[in-house]
Amino acid sequence: MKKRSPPSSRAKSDSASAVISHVRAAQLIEAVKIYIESASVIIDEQAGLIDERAKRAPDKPDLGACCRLVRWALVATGNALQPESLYAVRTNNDRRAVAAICDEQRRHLLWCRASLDAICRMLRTDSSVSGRSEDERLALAAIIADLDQSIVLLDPAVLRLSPVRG
Amino acid sequence: MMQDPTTEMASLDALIASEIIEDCRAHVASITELADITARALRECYEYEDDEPQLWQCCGVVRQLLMQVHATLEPLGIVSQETDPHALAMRIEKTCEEQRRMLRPAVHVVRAGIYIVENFEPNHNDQVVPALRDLEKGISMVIDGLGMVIQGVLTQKQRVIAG
Repeated sequence: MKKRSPPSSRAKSDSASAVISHVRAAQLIEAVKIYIESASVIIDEQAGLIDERAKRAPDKPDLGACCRLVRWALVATGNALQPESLYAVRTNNDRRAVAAICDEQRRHLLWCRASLDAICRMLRTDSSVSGRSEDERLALAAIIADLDQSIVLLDPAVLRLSPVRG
Repeated sequence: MMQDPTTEMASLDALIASEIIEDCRAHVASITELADITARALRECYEYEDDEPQLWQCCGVVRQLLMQVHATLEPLGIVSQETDPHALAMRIEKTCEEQRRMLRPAVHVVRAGIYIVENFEPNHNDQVVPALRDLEKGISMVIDGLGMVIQGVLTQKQRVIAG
């Protein structure tokens, strides 16, 4: 039987850096997931407050309901980033698949951001639908600012996963 | 072998419910496409400033929800002779009510888009608002359609109890 030669120091270093980058990506994804969970709770609270203060008018948007759709989308993104969802692709050592999931969820966060931005725009400029919801607008604006960070973190390039965009 | 008339009626109604659900799914698929086209129009027709909401991306959330509703309704459209009509009725009622509850906020997101375009965009494109209105109506029609399915299921239940 031929004796197996020990891995070269270069190979060891590559392997170690792959593990480090893998752990780093997992930590960043986990951070985004935790953030999304807390944001969805805050949005739900703001939706309730907007419901109390905003005036309901036929043919005008119900901004509390709009918040609830964003909350639903955030929860869906949080679920897609659950460790078990990512585990299936990680076990196959398929970084491209993980990158694709992150990129897709990043796009979904952009959609949520835009919807929150539209809600804030209406809260800021139209008192006929928003009532006096300045506090709620500020809370949602703070979430937008934090969402921007999550959007950056989920970029496969930032996570050092294979780029999936062509 | 003679079939129990109650079971026969229930399975027949299950088939009708399944057809209506398939109609709803087809409608959801077509308005998902409309959401996609509207998003593209909103993207191409306007240049968004940094402080303006990217309305085309709002359609993305609506589209995401519609795709989920489409997928969730799929198993309800599949019935067979072995399907327990009572269990199926319960499942249809519960699922359809959940989907209706989820779809209602989508109407308001589209309505917010219309409101912003009409009120804050003085030179709005003539085609965008009608497309958004069609999307709003389309989602409302799905909500009504699912309501009809629930109503049908409830009527069926009452008939079975009375019979």
